[in-house]
Amino acid sequence: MSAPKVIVISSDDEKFPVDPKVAEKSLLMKNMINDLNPDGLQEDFEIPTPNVRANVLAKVLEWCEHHKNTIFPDDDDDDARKSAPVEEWDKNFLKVDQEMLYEIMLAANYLNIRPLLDAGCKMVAEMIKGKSPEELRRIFNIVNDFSPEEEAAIRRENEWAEDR
Amino acid sequence: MSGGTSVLGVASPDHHSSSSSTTLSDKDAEAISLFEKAIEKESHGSMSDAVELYRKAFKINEQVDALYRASTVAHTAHKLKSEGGKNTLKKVDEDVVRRIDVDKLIASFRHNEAHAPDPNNPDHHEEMLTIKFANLAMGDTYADLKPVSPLIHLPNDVWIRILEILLITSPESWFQFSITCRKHSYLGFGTSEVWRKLANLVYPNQVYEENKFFIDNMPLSGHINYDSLPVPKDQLKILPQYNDSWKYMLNHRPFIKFLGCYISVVNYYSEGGKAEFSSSWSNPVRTITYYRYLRFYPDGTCVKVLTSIEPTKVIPHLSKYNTSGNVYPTAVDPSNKQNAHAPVKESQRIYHGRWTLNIDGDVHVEVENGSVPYYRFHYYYSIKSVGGIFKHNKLTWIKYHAIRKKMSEDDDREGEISEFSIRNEKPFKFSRVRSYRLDN
Amino acid sequence: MPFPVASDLNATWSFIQPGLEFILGAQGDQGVTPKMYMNCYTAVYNYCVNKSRHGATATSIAASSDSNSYSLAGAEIYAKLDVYLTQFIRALKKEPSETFLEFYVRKWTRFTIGAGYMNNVFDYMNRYWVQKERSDGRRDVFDVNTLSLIKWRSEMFNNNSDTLISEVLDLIEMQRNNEIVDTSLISTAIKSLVFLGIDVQDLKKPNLVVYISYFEKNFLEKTGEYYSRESSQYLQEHNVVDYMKKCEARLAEEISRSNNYLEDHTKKHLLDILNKVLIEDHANEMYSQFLTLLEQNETDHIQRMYKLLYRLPATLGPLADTLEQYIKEQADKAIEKVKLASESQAEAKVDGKPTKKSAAGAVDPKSYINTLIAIYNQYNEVVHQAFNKDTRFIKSLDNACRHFMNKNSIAIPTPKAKCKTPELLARYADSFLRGTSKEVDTVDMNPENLMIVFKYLNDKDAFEEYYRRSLAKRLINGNSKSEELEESIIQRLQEENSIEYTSKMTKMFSDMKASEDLKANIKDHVSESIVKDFNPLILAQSMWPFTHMEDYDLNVAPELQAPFEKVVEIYGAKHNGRQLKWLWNHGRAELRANLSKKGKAPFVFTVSNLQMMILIAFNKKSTYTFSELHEIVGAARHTFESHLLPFTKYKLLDQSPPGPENTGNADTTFTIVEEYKSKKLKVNFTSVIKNNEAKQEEDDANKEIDETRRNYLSACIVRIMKSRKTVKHNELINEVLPQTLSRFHAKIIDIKRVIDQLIEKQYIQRIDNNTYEYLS
Repeated sequence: MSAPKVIVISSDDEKFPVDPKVAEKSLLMKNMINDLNPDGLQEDFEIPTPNVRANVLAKVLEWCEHHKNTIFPDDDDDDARKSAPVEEWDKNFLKVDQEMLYEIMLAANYLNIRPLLDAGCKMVAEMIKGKSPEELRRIFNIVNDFSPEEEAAIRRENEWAEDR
Repeated sequence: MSGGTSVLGVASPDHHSSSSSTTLSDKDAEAISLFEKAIEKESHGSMSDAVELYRKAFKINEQVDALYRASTVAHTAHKLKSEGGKNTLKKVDEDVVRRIDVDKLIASFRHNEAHAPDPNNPDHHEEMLTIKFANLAMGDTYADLKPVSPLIHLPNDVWIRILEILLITSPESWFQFSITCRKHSYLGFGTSEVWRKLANLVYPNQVYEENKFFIDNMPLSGHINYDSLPVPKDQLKILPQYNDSWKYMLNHRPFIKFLGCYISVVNYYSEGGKAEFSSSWSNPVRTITYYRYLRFYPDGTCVKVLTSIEPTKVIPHLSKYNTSGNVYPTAVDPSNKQNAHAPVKESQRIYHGRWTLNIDGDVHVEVENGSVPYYRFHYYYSIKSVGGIFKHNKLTWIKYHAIRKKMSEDDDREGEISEFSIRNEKPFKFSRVRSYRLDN
Repeated sequence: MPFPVASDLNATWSFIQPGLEFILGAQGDQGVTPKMYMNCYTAVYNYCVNKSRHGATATSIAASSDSNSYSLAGAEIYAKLDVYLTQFIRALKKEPSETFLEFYVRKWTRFTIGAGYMNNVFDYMNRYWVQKERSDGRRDVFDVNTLSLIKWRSEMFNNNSDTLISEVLDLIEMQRNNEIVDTSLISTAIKSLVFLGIDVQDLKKPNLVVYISYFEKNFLEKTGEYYSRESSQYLQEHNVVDYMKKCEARLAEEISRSNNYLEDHTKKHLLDILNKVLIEDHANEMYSQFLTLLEQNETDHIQRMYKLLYRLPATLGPLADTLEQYIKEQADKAIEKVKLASESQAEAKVDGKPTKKSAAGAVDPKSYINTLIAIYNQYNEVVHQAFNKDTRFIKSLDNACRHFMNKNSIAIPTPKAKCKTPELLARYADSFLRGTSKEVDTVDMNPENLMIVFKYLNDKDAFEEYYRRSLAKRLINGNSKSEELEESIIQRLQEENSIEYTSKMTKMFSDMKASEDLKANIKDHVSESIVKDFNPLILAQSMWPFTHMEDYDLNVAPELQAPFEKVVEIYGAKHNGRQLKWLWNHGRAELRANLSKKGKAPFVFTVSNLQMMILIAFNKKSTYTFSELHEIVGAARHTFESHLLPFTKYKLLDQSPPGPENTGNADTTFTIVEEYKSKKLKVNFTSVIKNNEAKQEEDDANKEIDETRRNYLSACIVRIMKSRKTVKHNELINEVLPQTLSRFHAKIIDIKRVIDQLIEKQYIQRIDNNTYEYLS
């Protein structure tokens, strides 16, 4: 008998059989596999992901597959890690339209795949860096809804804090 | 110089490129150019140079100030507006602004959504113009209502992660993003996570006098119990002293800034003195400008320079890792390698010191090897805010003295204190320098 | 079932609650399906994310004004969970057939598994909301797993802790009584106390506060009571050896119990209690048995006792004292036996005329030293085997040995006598180092034993004196068994003590070497004379224990003048200015005497120097009167007479008138026999020379010891005074005493005497009753 698989099921009922190692990049799935199989995985194990559609799940699992042997540090509050640049493969992987980037980040957040979520956050941060407010409004297509007085007051209160 | 911080970069800002208007005569262009240079000098506090340039500019054209406003300011205003948005340069009612409780205002934005520009809303007119221009090429006259970027819909939990990354890597971008709209101002300025992150980026890097004293007085053998430091590293232990608010802490607890340097500009008038056998009755007076520079590092070291060379030239070289020891290496011919290690000029020398901060916000800088070999120099400053708005941006002088070192085995003058006058000294102001890191 | 609307809290809760029932085991053992698990997680996620999107998860940064308005997304669902857990735990009911402990352990086991699942199901809330609240300083918000434990503590444990702990302790007591119990009940219940110790300030910090205050204290108390009772009872019915075995078994049991299900924290306290109750409280019983065990040589049991008491090192003190005392007593007995044996031997020898005084002197060094060694060996063995070479007991042995080797009825027969051990030890050494001793007599004598006794000698200087004297004799008489052995002993003495200690003896060896060279040098000059072989020894005066005696100053016979003069000449040339004095009283001569029957080989006579001169005189003339002969030979009259006597006694000279009473008369004549009659070809005339030099020598030795000590003490005092200038009397004594220890144990009176001498010689002066000052 071949080694048992984890079968991840998308919200639209598409099944993705993957190596447990791949599924366990998601801390949610890893915890669930351990909780419900205290003696180890004996047979194929189905995990429904009611919040993730097949096209997004495929993309997310592609990332997990690529990183199945990568060891990510546990510490969530590491400034050095947060300021490190996105690795090249991830950068190319996340060169998608805003819609897809949004979906991937949402799924990473839902499935608790922290390194993928971090990479997404860094991509968004890169979009923002060095831009003027007006440029940012254009990028995100949002309107400046402050009154002049509000904006002036908020600037005065907070702008100093960017210096440190 | 106004109350704001100026951002100083190695590449100077591009407001020289003012001559977009082709109608100016060469003479007028020259006058405007001199006028701009004068403004720049003035902004660095170099008054004598500035006065000289203004004089030259007005000599060419008496109306140069009007000319300058007409040509350059309009252009600059347009540019600022295209970067800052509709409220830029709009005259606001100061009374209204002053009466706003910003924390409450931002809290009220908690449930605000970000909206896309609506072609039917006249308020969005200016944005629409931009869009119109952007879409002109496609031949559309009116754009459809486009939804906001889907990324806007990420949960706030995720947006806060993004803002934390910005805080660490590009603090200006954190501000620029947070000022885009009400929802974002709530995320960027109204959540405790952001201010907590900022506090944790700032305070653990401070070198507290109280901690240094504590560690210096530990028994040699005992390992240091960092949990019992007088000023704990764990900021959570300090939070209750600041109304349990991280923002309140940042507003009220002074700190030294590392991503830039502190500059004090001193102008003074000097009687130029007559030539030795001159019989002239008059005695020329000169304005002399000199600068004090201070840059701090989180490891407790700092560098100090006293020179007449202006900031744009000094700042790129102001580093404790500058091995030349010179803040402004005399323009050397790069092909002439021997010149690379030219002797250090006293007027450009980088002095290395150590600093501590106490919980009252007083800074103590100590320079062991200063300009006089038998002195150890001590500078005492107090951290203040500029205009009450730019927090912890200023170092004012408290006192300045030197203590005699032990120069020989039986030196009975060791410990003698020489007080120096601070009457002519001016406060330091902080300038952000983009190229500076915590340790470079 | 479709997911509830994300913004509807009650709908969301109703959706997940049935899943939680399964997770916490409210539905019996029915398993949790992946779908159920995932649905719960997703519903919680949807709820939280919806709140987050709409700006509700973040806390307002506004300061104190609304610091209590914690954001609600997490808070609402957290509060629901809190209430649910309270109700769930309160609803748990004990089966009538089970004990409370069984119920507690059964439910706890299931509950903690469920809490683990639940923590993961609520992961999204933990990850953002809980994390954030704690980072902002809220100490009453916990991750779901911790919350579950806290609920268990408040709703289950706090109300029932007395029952629970007493049932656990009962079970432990049953186990101690060798009843069979389910130890998993004990270990699970105890482990639960560890889990329930939660530090709300720092959840990651392990915290034993519940374990210690509820369990450990009671457990230690019960343990103390239990063993206090058991040990007293046991000792009433059993002997100490059995009790010690019981202790060993109990200690092993308790250590394995503490390894199995107690926290490390308890181990030390548990052992403290056990050591006190089992050992310290019964140490007296063990002490009282110790002597018996020693007498019976029960090494195993002694070791057992040692190991038990070793757990409380302070309890070993009395044992070490007892051992020391015991060794002393045993030694005294053994030495007394040797003394009695030698006395009865002496009595036998003098035909029933016991002379108490000579008895001690008559003690055979070998049996004396071997007795000392035997006792040392016996208890050294005990110290090694039973006491693990424990320094405390090595010290007892050392103290005892130092005592009995220096102070015993043989060493000090009368209270004021000088210790005899150094002399006896030197004689012991002499007997196995002298080549003339018989092999059988010396098999069990060796340098090792010598060194053991030497180590404990108080008066090492006395030993040096005696040893050097016997060494000197062995050297000049050439009867040392082995030069190598001699040198190795000197080497060991030097290692044990110091270079200074052996410096004289070392010099003696080099004198012997130098004399070899001299002999070779002289050989050429004496070959033509009547002297066949000449062995002059040049001995440095202060190194060797020999003194020039005027009584022996004789006239060298003209036939012998040449070689003697040669020695003076050659030596004088080499060492200008050194004075040579002849030690006529030492040294032997062998003479060939042609007094045999015709055709027989000549006799060889071994004679003293004086005797040699007497016999050579008979080469010229066969009869002399006493005064003629004395005139020729020289020396003091009584010395001359005592050397002359053996010749008449062994009939080499005919005396007229005969009889020893006439020998010393001036007119008595002595005539050499024509033909000497003796069965042996070699005749020794020296052994019967009457003198009291043996007594003299002992006096010399003692005198020299005393003088060396005085010199040593004055050097010592002068050294101290020189560096300190003024010193109080008591301080001076206290400084001097330890400096002498490697050589002898100085008596205070001796030190005082030396001080007086130094004052007399004006090296120091008294500045008041109590203080001395150095005079330069």
